[in-house]
Amino acid sequence: MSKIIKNSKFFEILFIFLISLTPFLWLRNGQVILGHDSGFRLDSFTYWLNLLYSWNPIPNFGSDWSIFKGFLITQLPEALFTTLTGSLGDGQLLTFIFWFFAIGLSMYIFVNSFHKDSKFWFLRIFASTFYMYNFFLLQAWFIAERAKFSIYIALPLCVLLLYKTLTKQISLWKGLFFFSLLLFFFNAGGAPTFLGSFFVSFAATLIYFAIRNFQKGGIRELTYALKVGILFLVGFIIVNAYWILPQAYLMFHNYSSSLVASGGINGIIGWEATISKNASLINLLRLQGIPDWYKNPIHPYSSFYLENVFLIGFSFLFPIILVGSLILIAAKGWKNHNRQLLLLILALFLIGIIFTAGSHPPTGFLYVLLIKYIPVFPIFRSSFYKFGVTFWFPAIFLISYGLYAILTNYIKNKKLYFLCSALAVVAILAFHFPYFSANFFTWNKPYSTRVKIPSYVATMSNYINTLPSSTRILLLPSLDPVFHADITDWNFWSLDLLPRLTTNKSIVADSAGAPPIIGNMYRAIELGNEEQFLRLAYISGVNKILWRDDAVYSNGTKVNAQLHYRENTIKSFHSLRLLKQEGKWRLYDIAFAKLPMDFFVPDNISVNSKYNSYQGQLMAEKSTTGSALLEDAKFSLGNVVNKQYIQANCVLCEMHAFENIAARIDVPQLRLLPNSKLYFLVKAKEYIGLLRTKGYEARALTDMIYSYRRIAEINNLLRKNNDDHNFNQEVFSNISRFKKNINNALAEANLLSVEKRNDLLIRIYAYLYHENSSTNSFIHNSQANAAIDNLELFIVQKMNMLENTIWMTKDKTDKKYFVDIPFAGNYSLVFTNIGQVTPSEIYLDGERINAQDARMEKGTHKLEVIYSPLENMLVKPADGELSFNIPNGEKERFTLKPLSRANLYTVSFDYRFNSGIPPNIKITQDAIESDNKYELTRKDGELLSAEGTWNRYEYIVGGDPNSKNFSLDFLICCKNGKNSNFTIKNLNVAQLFEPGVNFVSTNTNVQDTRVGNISYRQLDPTKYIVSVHNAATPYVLSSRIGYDAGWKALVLDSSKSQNNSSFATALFQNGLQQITPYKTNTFANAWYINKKGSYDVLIEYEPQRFFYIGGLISLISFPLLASLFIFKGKKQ
Amino acid sequence: MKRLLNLFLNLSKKTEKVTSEYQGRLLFLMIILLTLTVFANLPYFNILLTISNIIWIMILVSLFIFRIRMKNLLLIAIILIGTALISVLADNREVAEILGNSIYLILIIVFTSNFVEYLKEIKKS
Repeated sequence: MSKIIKNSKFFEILFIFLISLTPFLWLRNGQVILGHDSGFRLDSFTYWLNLLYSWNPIPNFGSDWSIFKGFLITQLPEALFTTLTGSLGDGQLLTFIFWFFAIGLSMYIFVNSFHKDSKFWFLRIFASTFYMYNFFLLQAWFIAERAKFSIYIALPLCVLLLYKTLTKQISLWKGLFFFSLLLFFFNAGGAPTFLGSFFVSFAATLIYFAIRNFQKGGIRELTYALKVGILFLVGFIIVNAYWILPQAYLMFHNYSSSLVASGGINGIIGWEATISKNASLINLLRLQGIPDWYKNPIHPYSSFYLENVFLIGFSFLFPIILVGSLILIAAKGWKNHNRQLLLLILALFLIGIIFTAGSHPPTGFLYVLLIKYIPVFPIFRSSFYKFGVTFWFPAIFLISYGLYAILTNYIKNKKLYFLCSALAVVAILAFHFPYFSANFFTWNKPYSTRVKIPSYVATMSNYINTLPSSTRILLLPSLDPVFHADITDWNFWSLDLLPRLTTNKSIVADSAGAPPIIGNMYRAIELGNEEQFLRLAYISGVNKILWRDDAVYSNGTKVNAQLHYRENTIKSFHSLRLLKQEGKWRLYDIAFAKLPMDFFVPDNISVNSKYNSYQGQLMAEKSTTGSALLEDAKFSLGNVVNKQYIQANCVLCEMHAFENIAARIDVPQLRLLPNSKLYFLVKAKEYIGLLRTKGYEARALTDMIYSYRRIAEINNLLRKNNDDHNFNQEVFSNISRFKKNINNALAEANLLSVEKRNDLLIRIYAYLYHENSSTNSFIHNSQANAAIDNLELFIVQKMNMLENTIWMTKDKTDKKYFVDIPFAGNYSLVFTNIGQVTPSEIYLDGERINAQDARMEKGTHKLEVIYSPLENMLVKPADGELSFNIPNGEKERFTLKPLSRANLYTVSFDYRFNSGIPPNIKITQDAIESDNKYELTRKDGELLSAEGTWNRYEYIVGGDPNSKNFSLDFLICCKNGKNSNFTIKNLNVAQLFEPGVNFVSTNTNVQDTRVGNISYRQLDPTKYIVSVHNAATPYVLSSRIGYDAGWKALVLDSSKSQNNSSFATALFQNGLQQITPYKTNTFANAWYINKKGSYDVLIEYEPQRFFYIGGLISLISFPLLASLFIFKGKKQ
Repeated sequence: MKRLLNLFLNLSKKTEKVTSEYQGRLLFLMIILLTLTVFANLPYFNILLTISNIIWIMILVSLFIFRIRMKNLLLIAIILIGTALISVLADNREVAEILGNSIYLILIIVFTSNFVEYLKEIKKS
């Protein structure tokens, strides 16, 4: 022991440990870190145990969480510490100290491996301290990003092991063993996005030594380097197989849908540009450039570093030291320096900065190319956060080494050297003072990840955890409508809902991506429709409601009279009773006559397409408790399907639908005009572009893009105001080419199917609309006048032709649809979302039909539905044109009838401003406080346009349930003595009307489903055994488990004895046919089973198998690697 | 007066000697710069030949032509860092970014040069 203490390195490590105790300053008086993306749970150990399963039953109806398998190791420390201490706060404190110390120790080990001598004490301590205290890490601490800490710790040690192995200072097998062990324990949480930084550094180090080894020993040494690289990668993969295999499964099944959900490649590039906006090279050289520092007035500390002259100057010391040390080396030579190491770290620095800068110039184009053309690379869409480790590690080492080199070179006096070294360490700690203030947890005042959990939350959560596993709780009030986040009045904010972090039961809420049935339940409560709510609750398995008085919305709305009407509504439901109240939380029980079971056989089966956008409405209005609405199942499925719903697609029904299409058309960029000598390049490019474009639609749109370019070129030519004959020839030629583009586009459109042609014609019309507007700005010259007039006439004629040809909705109550009928037969029409409005006339292909029974042939048909007029909510409807001259300080009021909270309304009118100052428009509902814009129920003081032409105004407003008086006001905002003179017409306030139409085919020969009874037992969250008795017909087995294609059904052979343990069933049920589920009722799984008799059905979540297989591989890999190390390593 | 004249004559002779050595190289640099400037004004070429790209190309070519020593190059980097500091304090972020890019380029050149030398030494040994 005394030997250890006498060793000065003991004190160095002790120093690192002492500065790891900073978290003691962070958590006080029962505070914990919770919310945002921190991922902490009230019961860390139970959460950790659940990580063993690939299905998480807690969020809504359950979801896959294979991607979190790596957290089994990364979140083990907090699970252990919280269990040992019995307190989340104490457990977190120990966890933070553990990670902090491990970070410092990692750099210490790295530096010490190359600089063991006692004279390097400053380098070891400074580098370790700097590695622990820097801004890249600080932005991760506000949510204690353990996955990032994990790779941050691993990286220096990985580089160290690679270095030692590639330079043969340690044997290949020893290096392999420790490398694999290291990456098993510090696995970046199994997050592929963080492993990007590891792979970049790994590849860079390998290439560096491959080149160096090749120079040294030729092909033989190069082969050795490649062998090391491949074996190390294999070692990494096999020890981490337990999370790699499930993620590989996930990637192959879900990658493309995730890409689309992120907005596609362009969406990802756009997001990346936002993150990299301030990651310039000069900022990174100063170890700054953190995205949320800039233009963020509420950032807790960034303003100091962006505005304080001293701190700005201090930050420039980092690149000065780095470059200064290189000058020193250039002047004095490499004699006293490890050139091999320093060049390697410099290489990592230079490569790391490119990746960390992401799409920021000047190297940003490389990153964008990688996103566009390398598959899977788009997952690194936040380059700064994902690759920052690759840069910060070498940067800190180089700066530390540089400072060490400068100090040792210029300060010979030992005492002075010690003083300067100590000052340097203190300076680096002082520069990063926000670490000690702890206000960095407040990421958006008043919201912080450092919170004190009220006692009632813990008490109620503990109670909920004692309820049966079938408990499924709906949260009220609904979540913040802007972010779908869970926000409380004690400053908790998270996209991960609080009850999901504190309980182990299924928690249902309208979080982002929630299936329509959840929104339908909230709407039913909104309407006070108990029958509909109970029916949907039964279908979804919701049997409890949790009301939370501490809920807050992002605009600051607290649960008060504004939202309490919803609790009053559910209190009025007869089937609900208060089960428990703790503080601000109240738990209600829903009493069903018959309890909803996890598995059941529906007696009424309908099918529809997954693209049917009215599924939610069909569920809300047409379902029964025993029904199943299957997606993408065939109508002929085993003769068990009663009905097929076929959606009719409404053409341009949404508000501003055409304007949105027109807005997506870009104004063409011109580089060369037709009179330029190089214009042939433009012609050639367009010609090649058209040749390469495949498909009629794409070619037609390409022709329209070129046509718009022709108009822009003509406009530019005319502006040159040249009457020269040759010049005007260019104008005529362009007009001719323009007409050819339009005619070609229209010809291409005619080759498409009916509905696609119609969509394309709408887009062509949108282009013509823009082109027509552009011709208004043409400057006429004498020679080209006739041709230009002819051009304008041509455009107008085409627009008129299209207006008569295009099938589209032009009126609120006269809707036009297309419907694609798959087979001839009799169909009935089903209308959803029409409320009290009724369809008065229905035309199919121009002929009037009966909604209850219409004979239809196979193919695409045009449907027109004329609905009864919508009620005008104006108490006194305004007919014709109305002119106003409103004096300053006064208003013109139109009283409205009471607006229902169940509906949305459109306020619309045409207006023309005449003189004075333009008016403001305000929609008032009298119970709303002035700063309360809950669900944008009213419009405050929006200024109308001052243009003298006719403009259209449309706005959607919802009804406030607590208001009694509603009005629409035109007023003058500012008291400046001026009045407002304007004219309006077509003033209308009516219900937002977006009806759904489905054609229904009924199977008159449907077979009655006859199944005796079913029972089930749950083996674990990923496995159920359903016992089916006396199935006499094929049937659909439906569930209330969230839909995922990984949930497979396997009909077990009743003749063989089955080992029903989870692990055994996962591995040994081979040779059985797997039945893929259909999505049912918009949220759950259902399987079609065509087997009679009595038997068991195994319902398993397939990705769990990959975890077991991967786990086995990981388990076997350790003894394998250890034996290679022991036997082969010794030999070597 | 005579001394002053002699000093001036000596200085001009020295300057003439130095400039004649670099005349050819300077001329070459001017031609490159002129060519790049002409092309930068042509359509399609101006996408690639932005001002910052031209600066990068000129720095690289100058370093090659004038065979600037590493130490001097690094001293230039220090000056650039100082200038960048002034730019940041003066809230001129664009200039600071351009200077940062140039510093990075210098570091790449330093690394490349040192790595090549290192490889040569390994081969010799």
